[in-house]
Amino acid sequence: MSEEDLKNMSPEEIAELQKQNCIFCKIANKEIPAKIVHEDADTICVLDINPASEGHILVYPKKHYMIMPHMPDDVLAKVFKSVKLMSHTLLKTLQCNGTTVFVANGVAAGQKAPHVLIHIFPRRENDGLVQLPKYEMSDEQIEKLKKELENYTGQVFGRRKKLVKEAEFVEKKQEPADVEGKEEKEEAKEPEIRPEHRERHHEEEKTHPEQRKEKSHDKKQDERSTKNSGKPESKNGKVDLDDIAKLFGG
Amino acid sequence: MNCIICDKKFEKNVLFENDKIIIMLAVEPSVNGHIQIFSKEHYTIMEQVPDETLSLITSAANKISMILFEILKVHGTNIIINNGVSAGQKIPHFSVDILPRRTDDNLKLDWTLKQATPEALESIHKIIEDGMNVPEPQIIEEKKEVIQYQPEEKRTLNTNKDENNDNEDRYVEEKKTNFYHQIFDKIP
Repeated sequence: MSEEDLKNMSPEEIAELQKQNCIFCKIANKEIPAKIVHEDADTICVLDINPASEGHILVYPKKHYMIMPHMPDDVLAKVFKSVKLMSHTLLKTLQCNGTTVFVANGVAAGQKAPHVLIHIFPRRENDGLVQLPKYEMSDEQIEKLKKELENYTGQVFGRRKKLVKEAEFVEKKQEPADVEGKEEKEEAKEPEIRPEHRERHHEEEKTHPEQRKEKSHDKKQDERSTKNSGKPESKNGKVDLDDIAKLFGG
Repeated sequence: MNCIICDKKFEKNVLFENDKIIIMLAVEPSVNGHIQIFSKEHYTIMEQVPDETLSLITSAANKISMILFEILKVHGTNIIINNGVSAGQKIPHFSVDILPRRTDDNLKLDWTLKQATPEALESIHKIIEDGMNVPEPQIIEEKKEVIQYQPEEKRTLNTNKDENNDNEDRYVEEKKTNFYHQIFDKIP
């Protein structure tokens, strides 16, 4: 294979070539010897030849994937199950105080092999490995970033704003139901008030029962119309407050 | 619980929230676009997280790294889980960090490559394999407790009686001493 041939190849062909020449696929197929710590139907755990610290383990799927986002969810779940197992065994056997799980997607992130590799290595205090620096961000920058990302996270995971809108919609729906409930309560209260005025309007009720019914219907309709047109309760409340204020001012 | 995440002190950073996971801009970012994924329930380290939520979190990490590729047009992403305080875990709540990377960002997360000798590799391989084969000690202790439960009760009953007798004797002695003390106290 000359370099000119490589230049003329399509990216798909190059990918296939990488598959064929992948060291980690060959290790999984047992064509190249390696220190296998744990093996599964889909995953394999191997000691790294170039360790960051003693007990550095590589976990990867046996099938060839270039970067982690290419992996389907079921394979990911299996891989991270064995990642959990390996970090547990490292904590148990090597008596370290912690472990770091490190994945690099892309050459810029420090990926060196064309196969997904999940690094696990034991950590001890002040070992000077993976140290995340501080990057100071102003609130404006944070808001700008959030606005940029929120639309796309919304598309992928479901929008947060939508949830809020739905909640508002539900509340609006509940309002008329509450009004009806209030009316029923008011109707229930009416007979309690009646006995006080029964003596005064006793004869009227007896003489014109139908007319009274009509009147009560009218009252209900009036109440409904006022409630539908606006919110009389709140207005009444304001009026009361104003009256009280006037009393103090006067 | 004194947890920053459970107390919702960084509500403004949250991008997405679910009954299982929380996705938010990093509390202490180390790059522009640093994102953290937390489990909704409180777990301090990865070993405590059940497999289902772990798979949810990692698949979310995948999707977010794709979003970062597309929108911020970065050249790569790092997915890091720091387990334990000595590993650099700052918040006592399990999290997956996703760092967008560019070729010219001057971040040095890599380690210097050192070739390990085959002997050292073999010794570590032995230690780990032996450790894997040993069953966990907690389970054995529990079984022992269950087996020895009944005889222990009887013994404790017998011993209790003895102790009671001893206690009575002591009680009498104490009373005596107290009595003398009282007398001595009263003399002057």
